[in-house]
Amino acid sequence: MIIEIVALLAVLLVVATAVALLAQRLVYSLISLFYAGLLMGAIFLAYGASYAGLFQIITFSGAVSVMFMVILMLVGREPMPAGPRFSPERLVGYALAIGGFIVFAVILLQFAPLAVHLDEGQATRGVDFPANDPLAFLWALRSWDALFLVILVSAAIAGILNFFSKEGGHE
Amino acid sequence: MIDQQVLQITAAALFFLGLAGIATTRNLVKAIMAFQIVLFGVNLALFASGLGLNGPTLFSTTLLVLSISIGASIEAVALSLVILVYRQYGTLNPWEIRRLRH
Repeated sequence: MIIEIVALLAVLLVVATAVALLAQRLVYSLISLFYAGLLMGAIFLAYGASYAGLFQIITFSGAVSVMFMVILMLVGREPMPAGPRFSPERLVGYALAIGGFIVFAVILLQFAPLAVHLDEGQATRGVDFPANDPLAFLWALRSWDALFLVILVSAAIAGILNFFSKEGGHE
Repeated sequence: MIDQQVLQITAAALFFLGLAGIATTRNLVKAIMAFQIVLFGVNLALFASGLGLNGPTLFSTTLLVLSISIGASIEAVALSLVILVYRQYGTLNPWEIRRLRH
C-alpha cells in the first residue's frame, strides 16, 4: 500500500517542480516549490522518517520559502527576460537533461539498488559486494548521492569559471 | 518495482530537471530555485540509498538532516549574493550582468 502512496507523491513532486521551472512568474514558481517541499516531507514521513520529514518541511517549505518571498519583494518587480523558448543553448540544456535522465533510469531499472539488502549495522560499517556486480564501483562512491554531488560540484565550478571569464560567453 | 527504484528514479528526474533549469534560465532567483530542485533530488537519492528492509536507517536519516541544513545555508548565502548583484548592476539576468561588467 505504501508504494502506491509514495508513487503518487513522487509523481506530484515531479509535476510541482516542473511547474516551478516552467512558470513565467516567480511567485507561481515559489508556490510550486512550497508544495514540492511539502511533498518531499510527506515522502519521508511515509517511510517513518518523521524527524527528517518535519525538518524538511520546516526548512524548505517554511524558512527558505519565506526567504524567497522577501527576495521577491525586494527585487521581484523585474520582469522575466522574454528570450526565445527554444534557443540553441536551451535545446542543448533540455537534451542533456533528458538524455541524462534516460541513462540513469535505464541503469536503475536494470540493476536493483544495493542498500535494500543492508541492515543498520552493515549500512554504518560498510559492506563487501560481489566482484561481478557491475555497479559495485558506485557503492564505493557512496552510491548515487555521491555521484550526484560530484556532478553538481563540477557543474557549479564550470558555471562559476564561465561566469567570471573575460572571454567567451554571450556578449 | 521496489520502493528504492521509485525513489531513485524520482530523484534522477528532479536532479536533471533542476540541472536543465539552471542551464536555461535567465533569472538568478529562478536559478537558485532550480538549485533547490537539484538539492531535493540529491536528498531523495540519499534517503533512498539508505532505505533498508526495516525502513530508513538512522545513519542515512542523520546524513539527510545534515544535507538539508547545508543546502538551506547555501541557498541563504546565494540569495544574499543575489541582493548584492541586483544592487550593483540593477538586473538579475546573468548575460546582462556579464555585459555590464565589461
